[in-house]
Amino acid sequence: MSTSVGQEIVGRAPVPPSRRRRGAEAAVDPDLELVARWHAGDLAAFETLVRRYQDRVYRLLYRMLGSASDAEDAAQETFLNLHRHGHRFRGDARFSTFVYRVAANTALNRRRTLGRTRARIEKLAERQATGHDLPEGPVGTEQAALGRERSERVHAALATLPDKLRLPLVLFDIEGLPYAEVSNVLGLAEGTVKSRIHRARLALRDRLAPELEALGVESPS
Amino acid sequence: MNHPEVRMRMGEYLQGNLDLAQRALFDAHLDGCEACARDLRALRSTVDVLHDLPAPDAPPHLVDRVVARIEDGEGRPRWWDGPVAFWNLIDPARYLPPLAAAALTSAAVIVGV
Repeated sequence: MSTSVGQEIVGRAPVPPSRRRRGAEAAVDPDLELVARWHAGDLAAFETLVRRYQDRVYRLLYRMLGSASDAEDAAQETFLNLHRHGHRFRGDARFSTFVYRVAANTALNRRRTLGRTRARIEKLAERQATGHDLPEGPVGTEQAALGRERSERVHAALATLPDKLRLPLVLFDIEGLPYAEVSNVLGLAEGTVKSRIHRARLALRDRLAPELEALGVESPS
Repeated sequence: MNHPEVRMRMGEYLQGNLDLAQRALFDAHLDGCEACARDLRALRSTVDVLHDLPAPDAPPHLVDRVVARIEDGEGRPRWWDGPVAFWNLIDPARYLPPLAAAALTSAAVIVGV
């Protein structure tokens, strides 16, 4: 099998920050041609899909797992799972929804495994608290603007939310998916998704009270 | 709109899901209730903090590693994928405790305890 693959087969503008994508519904799934070629045995087409989704998948896993190394392992596992089970994609939902679904399941399975080892979780929280195991790479202007410390505290607060609240919150408020897509990814009614997002925000607001005060926002009554 | 109702509908308000009439009632309550207004500001700031989180990119070698693993044969369906998928589907954390309790009760009845 050739490894000389990786060129973008179907031209596509760079993906803008995910929250700007909300509400932008395309009539035709832009991935279908690549998916058809991949299903026909073209590994280059699959590689292009991986390139297209790697950042979104990695970000979701990083928010869910809280560690760069776990997110990277889980991202590899996500794409291997996608390759293993790709034949189940029938085109009844957007391919992006299918990818998020596989990534979300990978994250939940991994957190279940981690949850069985209490010491591992505590170690992870400790590493987060001390700022270790954050994603590599240059410090961008966005990160500099927010402040590394605040970002770490927000992630630590996110880590305290139960999966059923954390996942919809991450998909909606951070990844910018519309309600309908979050609902499809999680297999939940849209009303349930909205309710869980609101509960997650309330819980996070309480956990982030010191952060919000530092930003000049008074604590809730 | 009264105080508990405003608290309950804060999520819908922020998500833009209230119709015009409800929104007007909500806003009218906020004008006269500093506690609810403060709660809403804190909730809105929480959402803003989430929106402002930096967005890390995937490590540059991720794609190459995935492709290499597929070429090594790791991307093929495995025989245990079926049972694992079933195991995840049945959600063992939910069903195992009652199943275990039923099994223990049956065992106790059989041995005549």
